[in-house]
Amino acid sequence: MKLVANVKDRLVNSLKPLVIFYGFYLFFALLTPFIVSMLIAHENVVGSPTGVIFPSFIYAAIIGMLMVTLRFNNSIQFGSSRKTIFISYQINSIVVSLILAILNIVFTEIMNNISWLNMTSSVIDNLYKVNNVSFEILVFSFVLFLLSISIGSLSGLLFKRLKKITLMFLGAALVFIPMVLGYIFSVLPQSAKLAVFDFFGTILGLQGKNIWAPVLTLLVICLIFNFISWLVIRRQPVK
Amino acid sequence: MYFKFDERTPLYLQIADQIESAILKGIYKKGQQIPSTTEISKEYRINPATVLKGMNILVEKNLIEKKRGLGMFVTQNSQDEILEDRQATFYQDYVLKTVEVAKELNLSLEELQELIERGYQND
Amino acid sequence: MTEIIINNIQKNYKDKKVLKHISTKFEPGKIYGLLGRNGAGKSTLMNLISNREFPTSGEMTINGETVTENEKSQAHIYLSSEKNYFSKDFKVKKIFKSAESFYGEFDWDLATKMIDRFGLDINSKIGGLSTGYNSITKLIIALCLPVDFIFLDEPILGLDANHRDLFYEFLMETYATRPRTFVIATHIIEEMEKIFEHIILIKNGEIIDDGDVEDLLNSSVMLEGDSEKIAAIEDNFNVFYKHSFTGISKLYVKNKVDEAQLPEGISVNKLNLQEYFVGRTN
Repeated sequence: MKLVANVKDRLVNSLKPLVIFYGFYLFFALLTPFIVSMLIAHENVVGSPTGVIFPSFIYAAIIGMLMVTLRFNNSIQFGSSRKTIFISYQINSIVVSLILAILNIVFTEIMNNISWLNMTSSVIDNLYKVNNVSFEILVFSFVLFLLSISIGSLSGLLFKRLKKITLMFLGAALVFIPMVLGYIFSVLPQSAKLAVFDFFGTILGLQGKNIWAPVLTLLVICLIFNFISWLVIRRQPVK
Repeated sequence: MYFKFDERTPLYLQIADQIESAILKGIYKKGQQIPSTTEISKEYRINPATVLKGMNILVEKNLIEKKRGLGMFVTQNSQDEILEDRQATFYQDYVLKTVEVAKELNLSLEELQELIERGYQND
Repeated sequence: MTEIIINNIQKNYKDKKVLKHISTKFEPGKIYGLLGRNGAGKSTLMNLISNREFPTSGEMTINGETVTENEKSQAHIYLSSEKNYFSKDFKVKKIFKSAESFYGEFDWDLATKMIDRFGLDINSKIGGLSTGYNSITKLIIALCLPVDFIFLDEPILGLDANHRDLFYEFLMETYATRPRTFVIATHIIEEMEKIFEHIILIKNGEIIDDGDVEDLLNSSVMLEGDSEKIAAIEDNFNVFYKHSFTGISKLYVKNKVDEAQLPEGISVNKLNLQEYFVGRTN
């Protein structure tokens, strides 16, 4: 009973913003190119090079953040355990990611059939050579959004839980560690550099244009973030 | 019933006392049902356990009786017994105190008697 | 029947010890007063029991099972506290329905009566309600859920005298209809004294009194009289509070005292709960 009530709660809070997002996106995605094409020759108008998938990714992160900050206290007050709440987060993420993935494909397909708009992500297209309407893109998008929600959730949880000082250090670390790693990388011997390239190439499936590799990679990263989220939630106090 | 909630007497004794007074005055007659624990508790915002304790004192004195499923009822001899009881404690509860105060105020026995006579006539 | 057993609970925040070896129990169907000054630890204790915070050490159980992170246990426990955890843009009606969906039941009969008598507009958003109506909303939820142990932290915040009286009336009525345990933490002791059956008094994170109201008040008295006379007998008693005012002193003592045995000029008075409380926690 608590789980059902929790899941209902989470879904309502996630699907509402979703409707708003697609409402906005449809409106601006249709309207902007149309206006632009009215002002300039329309053959040159192209949709965003990243397609719908990139803004959706950002938005999914926001949904993730909202999910963990809204109504956690309410769930606890009404007798839920943090374990049930965490499970409801997982169920919600899966449902929302699936919906997002399907909507993405449908949306892109519709847009692509309006001749002067090209909404497929050219980035993904070039890397993996898959059709928009395909099982591969469905799974890939699904996992991408799962990860995005995961990132948003973890960010939201840490923001709630950590002291401001700790957050500032964490933020700085997130910025500077890649910089430091980049520097270290640049001074590595050639063989080491090749090994690193190889590694990333494999996990992102770039060599063989294999989309299943990044699917697996993203899934693993997602699971790691979820695990960290669990560690944060399990002792989250309600003050 | 009127509760003063003064601190001298425990509340449950006050409750017993007030019900007794009501029976004495004829407000609750022989065989009549008195308000339930719940009703008194709700009306005066008193914990029912306290009310029950007060009522149980009266049950033990056989002034009221419990009829299963119905409630508490005034017993046949209740009023007479209360009257007798209070007459017996009248000296302790009222007379002694009055005499003490009279003495504090330097009233003589005759002056006190005069006052008492006046009190009866004022009815 | 079930009871909540608190065993040697300790709660620290960084270096500060807010609760130190707290042990007590809450029996079914009793009304408890949980009393203590601001910061004594009452809210913290209730937060721990209702799974809002975690104890540093110790156990709290109901029916032998822990209350912490245990939904089966928490189904028997509900805390209504000063802070509002309901979404501010929710209408009152929606909050009641939400409560119902989490607990499977909601006493709509009682709720309707209370909504009517208090004059609560259930179509208003909770964020827009006054402090008083906020409290009333929370009270209705607390009284209408199918829960055996209800904890109320300052339930009458912002309620005017009439509404407070109405709350006491509804409390007594629902308690009679469906006896369950209420644990009420409040500063408004004088008004609620007659409602409590049992008192737990917390001072500086420790329980200093834990007993029936009557027993506690019967075991203490106030001695009053000329300051010099009082000073002369002070050492014979277990004094927990003294107050002097222009030549007259009052002593609160934890003894049963017979007035006849005292020197002339010293009177014995029973304390009410508020006076007892002030004396014990000063």
